[in-house]
Amino acid sequence: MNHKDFISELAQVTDHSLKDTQILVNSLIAEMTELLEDENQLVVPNFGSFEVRKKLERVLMNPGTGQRMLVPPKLVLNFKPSNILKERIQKGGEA
Amino acid sequence: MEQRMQLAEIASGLIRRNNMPAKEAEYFVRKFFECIGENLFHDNIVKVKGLGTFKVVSVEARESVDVNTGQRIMIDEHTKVTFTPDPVLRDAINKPFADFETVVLNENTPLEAMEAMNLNEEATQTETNEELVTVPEVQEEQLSEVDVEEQLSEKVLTQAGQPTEVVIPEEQPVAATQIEQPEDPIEKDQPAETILDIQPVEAAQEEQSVEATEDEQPVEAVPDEKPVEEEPVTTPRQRSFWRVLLPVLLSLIFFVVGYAVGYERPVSLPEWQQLFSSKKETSKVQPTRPVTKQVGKSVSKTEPVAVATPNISSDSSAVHQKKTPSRQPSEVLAYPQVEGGEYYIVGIKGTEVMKAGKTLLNISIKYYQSKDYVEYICVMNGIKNPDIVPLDKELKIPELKHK
Repeated sequence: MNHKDFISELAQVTDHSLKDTQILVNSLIAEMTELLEDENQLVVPNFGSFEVRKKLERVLMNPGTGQRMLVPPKLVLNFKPSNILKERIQKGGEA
Repeated sequence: MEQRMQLAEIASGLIRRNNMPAKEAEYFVRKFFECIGENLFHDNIVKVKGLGTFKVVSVEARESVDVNTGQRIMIDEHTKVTFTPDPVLRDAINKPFADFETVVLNENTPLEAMEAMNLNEEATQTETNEELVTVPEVQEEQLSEVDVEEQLSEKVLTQAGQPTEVVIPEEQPVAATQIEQPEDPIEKDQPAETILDIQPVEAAQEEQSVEATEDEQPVEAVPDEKPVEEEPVTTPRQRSFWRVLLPVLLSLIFFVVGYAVGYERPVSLPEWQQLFSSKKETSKVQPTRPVTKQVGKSVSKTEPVAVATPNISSDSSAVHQKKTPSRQPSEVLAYPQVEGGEYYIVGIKGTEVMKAGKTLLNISIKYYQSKDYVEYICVMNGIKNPDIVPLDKELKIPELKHK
């Protein structure tokens, strides 16, 4: 499902116009980003949790060329679905 | 509770940004995630611009091991939800580390540098705090670091080589006090002097003390080494030169001597006891050292030329030390030796051609009246597996000499 489909569906559910929904979604995401930067974790009930994790720097070897690279440390956003979502998806897969 | 707070926070942000009623905002946020979940359930994939892609991926059944019981268990086929953040979001999250870039490493160098860093940490732990301050001059630091490293490895090597390891711990406290004793006068005398100077001094003493513990004639070794420790305390220009050269030189000498002592001449127990008693003598000598050192310092300050001579003497003493360990008969080097054996192989007694029916055991009994010398025959003839000796091989029978 693409962004467009998603927005139109969300618009339908929430009784907003497409344009409004888009604006709202954008500001929602901006808000989420801010929150994640501050607190590192965002838990959405019945959906899952977003978490920022730090990956340490590491030495990586290109098997083709044998070149070694030092990959810098980075912050990565992880998502872990909640059990409720997982169960629902599981059932959906069976049905 | 906290979770609700977080959603409420997002909602309040929406209210602030878009002037929408509080209730509606919260509803919208809830619906937003609900909608994602719902569509994930139907479509298996949801893409949201600015956030990322949620995907349902099926995982095949696989076998695994129960961590607690160690039993093999089957993990059934199942689905899982993956999330790939949108590049925009990903970069926003990674903003604090955005300046870092992947670097291509040159051959070999980086890992050693990393190890050196680790060693640096170890070294600073064992040494005084003041030395932490001396870091600025990186080159010298590294050099002395290498020095310390070699010494450490030497210690380990030689200790491993000694059959009587037990004696060493007893002696090390003595060595420790030696290191600290002479250091103090310097600091009191010349507070302005850079601490880097102390480091080589310490290194030299450390080396010396280690040498003393290993050398069989520590009394001889101590006076020989004495000039060396006066070295680092000289005029600045000379000093910097020697600072660089001295650790390298000392470690080299130490390496050779340590190798000779540790490997060519395993020290037996009585020798160690001897050593220990003579060690006490040397420790008596120690306290006088700071005094001589101060004298040496003032002398070498006025005439820097004096520096070269003590070094040479230390060099020659090192050569002298190098020679002394070869107490073994000179023929020993000409033949392969049995490690840890009672005898040296010093010549060839005779030869024996391997024929059917002959065994190494027989030959050993024939020449030595004992079956215990098979190993010497093997070593002499380079036989790796004593059970397999080729027919018609001409075996050299070693002439043995008791150690």
